[in-house]
Amino acid sequence: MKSLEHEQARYYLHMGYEDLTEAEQESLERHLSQCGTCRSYAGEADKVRSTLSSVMHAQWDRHRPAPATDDKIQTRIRRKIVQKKVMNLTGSLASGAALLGFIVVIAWFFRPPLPGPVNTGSASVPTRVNLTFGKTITLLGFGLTQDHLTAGDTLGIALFWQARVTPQTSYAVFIHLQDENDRLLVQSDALPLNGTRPTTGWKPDEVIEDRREIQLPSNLPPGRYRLIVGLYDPSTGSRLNTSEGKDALTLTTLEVK
Amino acid sequence: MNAYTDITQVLKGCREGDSAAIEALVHAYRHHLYRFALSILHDPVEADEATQDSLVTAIDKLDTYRREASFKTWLFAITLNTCRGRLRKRKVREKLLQPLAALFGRVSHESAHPEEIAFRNETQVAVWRAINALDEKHREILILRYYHDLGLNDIARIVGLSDRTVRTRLHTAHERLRVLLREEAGLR
Repeated sequence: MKSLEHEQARYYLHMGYEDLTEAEQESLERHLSQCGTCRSYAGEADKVRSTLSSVMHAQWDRHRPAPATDDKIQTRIRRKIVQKKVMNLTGSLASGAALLGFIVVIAWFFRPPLPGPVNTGSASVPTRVNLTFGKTITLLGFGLTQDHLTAGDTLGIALFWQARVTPQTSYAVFIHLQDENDRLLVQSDALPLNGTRPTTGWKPDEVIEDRREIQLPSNLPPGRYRLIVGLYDPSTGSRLNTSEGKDALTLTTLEVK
Repeated sequence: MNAYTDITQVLKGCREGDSAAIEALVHAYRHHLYRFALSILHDPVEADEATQDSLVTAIDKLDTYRREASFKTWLFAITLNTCRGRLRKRKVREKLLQPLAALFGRVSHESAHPEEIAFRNETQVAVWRAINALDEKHREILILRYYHDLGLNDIARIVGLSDRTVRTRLHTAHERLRVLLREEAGLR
């Protein structure tokens, strides 16, 4: 092992043995065993260390904190802890309020579209359909005046329409009653609300309630009949296709007894 | 139950505001901290205040104690910072007061540390004179080493320096003291 220089040995001596690594201790011991000058220096360094320790202890050991200090510290610490708890609680409440506010804003932002104003003071839609004809007109749903029918009965039908934007074409609404062989038995074809609310006058998102009546033939045999509905352009006769690609929608199947 | 578990429980109790835990903490460390503050500030009243400030700060920052060092070492680091802050304020105050002192013809005795006045023993006076001739950064390390018996690793954590820098400063402080004490002895 390389022997130590005097300077390095003196550097180690000032550290004290306890803070030297084993290798450093070993090399220092080897150097001291061979170097009288550094041995004498070691004695001096020891003396400096012990003198420092003794004068410092002699000076400060007799000092004590003032008797009232304990109480003061404990009071201040308790106050600080209460302050921290209050701050934490306030912070939690503020965070909670902020979170709640955030949720409300997000919920408002992603809220489902509200139904538009219902004209003629109509009640809610009894049976929901939500099927779009063409690009803009949606059949929201329908309602029937009765479920059990017999031949000769008059059936009241309410259709609830809504247009996203005002249609450019005045469409007619048809309601057909067909038997199981698709034979047309009864029909009601007319502009909405007997021509008083043509589709070209519908306001965006306005709900139009179109009430119709159909008279069942008095000789209608008992059986199952389909009630279908749709829109067509009276000037061309062409029907509006639904979003499902059909030119009419079966509202329901009626049981006639 | 070992000491580590004890201090863990004391700290847990302190966080929850338990009076007994706070009392235990204050009793365990107030003397150490007071003497440390006194050894830096040389003023019993200021040392008392610094001790209070340090313990209150420690409780306030308890969540930041990471157990990388012993709790005592962590407390000493806080106390040293508190004392350094007070020393800075003191220097500013003295600078501001110097023109007034000159105006009223007073002579500043700031170089005379209380230790020099308190001791009658010539050797001790000489040692203190030598210690006080050192600058603050070297004196702090000597105090931590020889009064508080701390190892170099702990001292490094307290003063916020590397082990190597602490070693170098300790060596420099020692060497200066050795020379100063030899000169003192030669003069007498």
